[in-house]
Amino acid sequence: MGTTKEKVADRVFGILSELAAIPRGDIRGGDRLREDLGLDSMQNMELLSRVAEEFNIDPDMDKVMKVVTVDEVVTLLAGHIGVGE
Amino acid sequence: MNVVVVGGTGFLGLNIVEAFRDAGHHVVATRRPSSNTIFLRRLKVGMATASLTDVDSLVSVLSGADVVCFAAGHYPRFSIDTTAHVARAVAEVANVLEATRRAGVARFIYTGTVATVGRPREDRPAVETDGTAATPEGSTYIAVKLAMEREIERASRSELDVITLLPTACIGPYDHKVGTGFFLVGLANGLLDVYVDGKINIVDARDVARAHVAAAEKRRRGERFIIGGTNIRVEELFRRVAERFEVAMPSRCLDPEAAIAFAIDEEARASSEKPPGRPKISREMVDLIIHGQFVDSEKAARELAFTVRPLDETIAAAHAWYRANGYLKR
Ligand SMILES: NC(=O)c1ccc[n+]([C@@H]2O[C@H](COP(=O)([O-])OP(=O)(O)OC[C@H]3O[C@@H](n4cnc5c(N)ncnc54)[C@H](OP(=O)(O)O)[C@@H]3O)[C@@H](O)[C@H]2O)c1
Repeated sequence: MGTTKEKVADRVFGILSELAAIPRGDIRGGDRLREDLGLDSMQNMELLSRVAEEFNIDPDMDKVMKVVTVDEVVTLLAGHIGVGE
Repeated sequence: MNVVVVGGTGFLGLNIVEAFRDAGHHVVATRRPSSNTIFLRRLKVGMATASLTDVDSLVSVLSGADVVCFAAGHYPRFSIDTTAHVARAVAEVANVLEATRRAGVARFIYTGTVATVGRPREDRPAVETDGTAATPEGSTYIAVKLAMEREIERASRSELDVITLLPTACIGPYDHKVGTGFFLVGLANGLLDVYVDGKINIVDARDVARAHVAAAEKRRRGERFIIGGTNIRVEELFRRVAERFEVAMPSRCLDPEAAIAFAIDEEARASSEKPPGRPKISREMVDLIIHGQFVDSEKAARELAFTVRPLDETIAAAHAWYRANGYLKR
């Protein structure tokens, strides 16, 4: 589980760095997607959708909509591994 | 039938994909690398990457299809720079049409909009034979949609088997970017403090999707169909929603000029925000309402066996979908 969560975190940071055009090393787990990283709601969705697709996860949309920070994205998606198809 | 839905990750696209799948057809939906695929993957249909700016990518997805549904028409978010939006939309349509020809797909179904239908001289709901609307001054959305439909009509006069469906304002499941359903989400969340009144028509996105299936199954080459549901004034619609979900009506009703000015200000504000925000009312919405009209879908009922479910059922289904997916505060 630990390694899987790390893998998810790795992809989340990678995609975030691409979407927000911020060097990976500058992104912190506590950063807020909108306020700190400047992602709009579409990019936010793109991030979640891309990671979910890569790991074959089917996240609940009501939870997706409530995500605020980078850490929350990782926790939400990692929590679905083994649960989603 | 083998059906490709171009734009299958979008609001109408997802409904269309689901309707074809449920009718027993084999469906492939196009997506972009950036698309939200969460809903599409749940439908368990084929998925292929294609871009409207890359004809070859479209040809490879369309090869072997019997029908292509084009539900990926350019949808300008802000009414700024009409010329650029029109040019982009027309180029994208031309690419899809070229790919359809090259891939040898027999039938092309275009998801247009009722906003392109002309105004009858007499006082009655508009029908297909009322021709084509004029572009209202400054309306990017309507200018884009008229230009797209002209391109489609040209193709239809040549060798392609084209059917054009003209849905009215669509409400229903899968509106994940919150398009027309904005009024529902806005009202329910208490975010809508102004509105503009006018004539509109609301249709269930699932009914629109079924009309696409009917258009694929019946031969109606070159025809254009209005796909409308309930004719209603905005004020009456809002009142119904407000009563049903026990929320307040917006406090101010703006006249058309004030509404345009308000939307222009809102779009300027929202587009300058980083990340871009969302206008309280978009110019597109104002244009569609103040130039709106009641319509009659009798032709679709007759030729496509199109049926309409009650408005309350549509509102309830959309509301339930937004609720289940975390869009509503309470
Ligand atoms: N919603 C309504 O009430 C309504 C009413 C009447 C008519 N219409 C018309 O119906 C059509 C679909 O509307 P909608 O509400 O379903 O819009 P939408 O939710 O924004 O969906 C648009 C679809 O097109 C795709 N797309 C857009 N540009 C693309 C490009 N350059 N390359 C590849 N794919 C592209 C989008 O992909 P992504 O997922 O990657 O963005 C998405 O799948 C539009 O032409 C609209 O004008 C809508």
